Amino acid sequence: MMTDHDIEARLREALRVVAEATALDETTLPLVWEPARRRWRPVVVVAVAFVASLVAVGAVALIPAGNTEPAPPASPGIDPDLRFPVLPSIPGVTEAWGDYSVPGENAHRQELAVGTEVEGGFVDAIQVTVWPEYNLAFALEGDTVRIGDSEGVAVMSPPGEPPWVTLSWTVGDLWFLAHDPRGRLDLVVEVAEALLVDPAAGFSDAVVVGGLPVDLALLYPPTFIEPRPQPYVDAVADNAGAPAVQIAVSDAPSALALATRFESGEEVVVRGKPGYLMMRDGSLTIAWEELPGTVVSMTGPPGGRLAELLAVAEAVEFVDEATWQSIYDSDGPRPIPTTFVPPPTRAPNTTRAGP
Amino acid sequence: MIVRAEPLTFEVVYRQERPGLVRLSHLLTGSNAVAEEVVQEAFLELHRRWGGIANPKAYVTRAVVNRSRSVLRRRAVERRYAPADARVTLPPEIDETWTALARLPAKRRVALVLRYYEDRPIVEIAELMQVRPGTVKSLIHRGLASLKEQLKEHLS
Repeated sequence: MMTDHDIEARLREALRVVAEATALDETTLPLVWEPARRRWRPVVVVAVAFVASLVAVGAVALIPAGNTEPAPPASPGIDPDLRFPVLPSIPGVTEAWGDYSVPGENAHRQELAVGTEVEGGFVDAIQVTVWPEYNLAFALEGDTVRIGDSEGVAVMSPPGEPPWVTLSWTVGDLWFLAHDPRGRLDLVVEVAEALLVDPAAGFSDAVVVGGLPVDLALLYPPTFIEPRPQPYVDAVADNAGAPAVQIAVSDAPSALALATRFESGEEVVVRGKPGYLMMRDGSLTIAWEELPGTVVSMTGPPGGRLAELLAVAEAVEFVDEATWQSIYDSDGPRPIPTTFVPPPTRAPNTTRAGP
Repeated sequence: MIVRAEPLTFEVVYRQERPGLVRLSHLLTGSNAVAEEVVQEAFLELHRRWGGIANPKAYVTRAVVNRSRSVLRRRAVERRYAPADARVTLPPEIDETWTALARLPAKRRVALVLRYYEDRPIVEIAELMQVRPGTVKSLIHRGLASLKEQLKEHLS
């Protein structure tokens, strides 16, 4: 007689054996491109993990809300003016954790987006990111595509899946990645051919947009992204799998810049400020500029409603790093300090901008 | 105060996470070759969105699970036409279990692999699969029952 325990044991063993038999293509592991010459320093987007440092320091000040101890100063490298988000009490949400990454000095890049402008927003955005040089840790495999006089690699969605395409190419040392969530390879190639490089300019000014394909507008011009810490908080409901809400401070220079990382965006008002509403995988995301230079995004659960998301956004507080660290534990979920943030004292603003 | 020490670059995430993710995707899709493709696509997506992603390891893991599930769904349609993946020789008991696992519906298979290979708690599996924890429990229960039934048939 086979028991449930027997089945579980057999399954564990089978999975272990098959996993160990998995062939790993080691040749793709060390393929970090090494250019013959470096015009700019290699760009590597750097984040810094909390966990190891928690152990190393061993003195994390997780001060309960309302504690009167003086707050510790900001961590090294953190702009003391940077504001950190604190979520309010959310019905059904029992746990939350926060963390943030600290980018390295050479995490610079440029971003731009093209697409179709519509009343109250944009649709069909194609996003382009440019780095000073190729920094992917593996060689891309895909179809070879002609881009003007050079070649690129197109990685496309598998047959039967919703179409998307990512096109990779280099001009000199510059490395370009263009992504179209709609999978229009021919159009992406035309966009790629419209991007010109001024070799005499420094990296932050090197990319110029030439003649775009008909019906495509420049939604967001080439913009140098200054890396910055991006704190986030995940709140998890005890009766739902996916995070109920995630809020994050972005390194995007504007709400529109953040919105164009999605396929389409619709103008909304968030906390009385102009922002954008986007959707991905059935979840709504709103983005707004809380303060000059502080662009925030908030994503709800799959199937969530805009009014609920805006209501949560209304009650978000922004605090300094030390206070934030006293609330959220980067090492895992912890109960939300429901007494820290008072309930909203004003009605949520659920008004959409535009007509 | 928390002092941050170790830089977590894309390359570090890639080197740390890729082998485990290829194994995981292999278990989910049943194909070593497909697993390599799935993981490449997931890392490419991660890289493309690197500046806007707060938790890259969680992001790429979810991307691999989702893409592997898509492969499974697609394969359910294409199964009869798909060429058999090159397989390693497995001990008979392991092979029986592996074959039985491959016959399960995609969601049950994913839930079982995340539970019994990765040892993930129910709530994490629910998050990765974007379903409720109760659904995960049901998928695991039904998956084990199906495995038991198949293996019992085989033994008889």
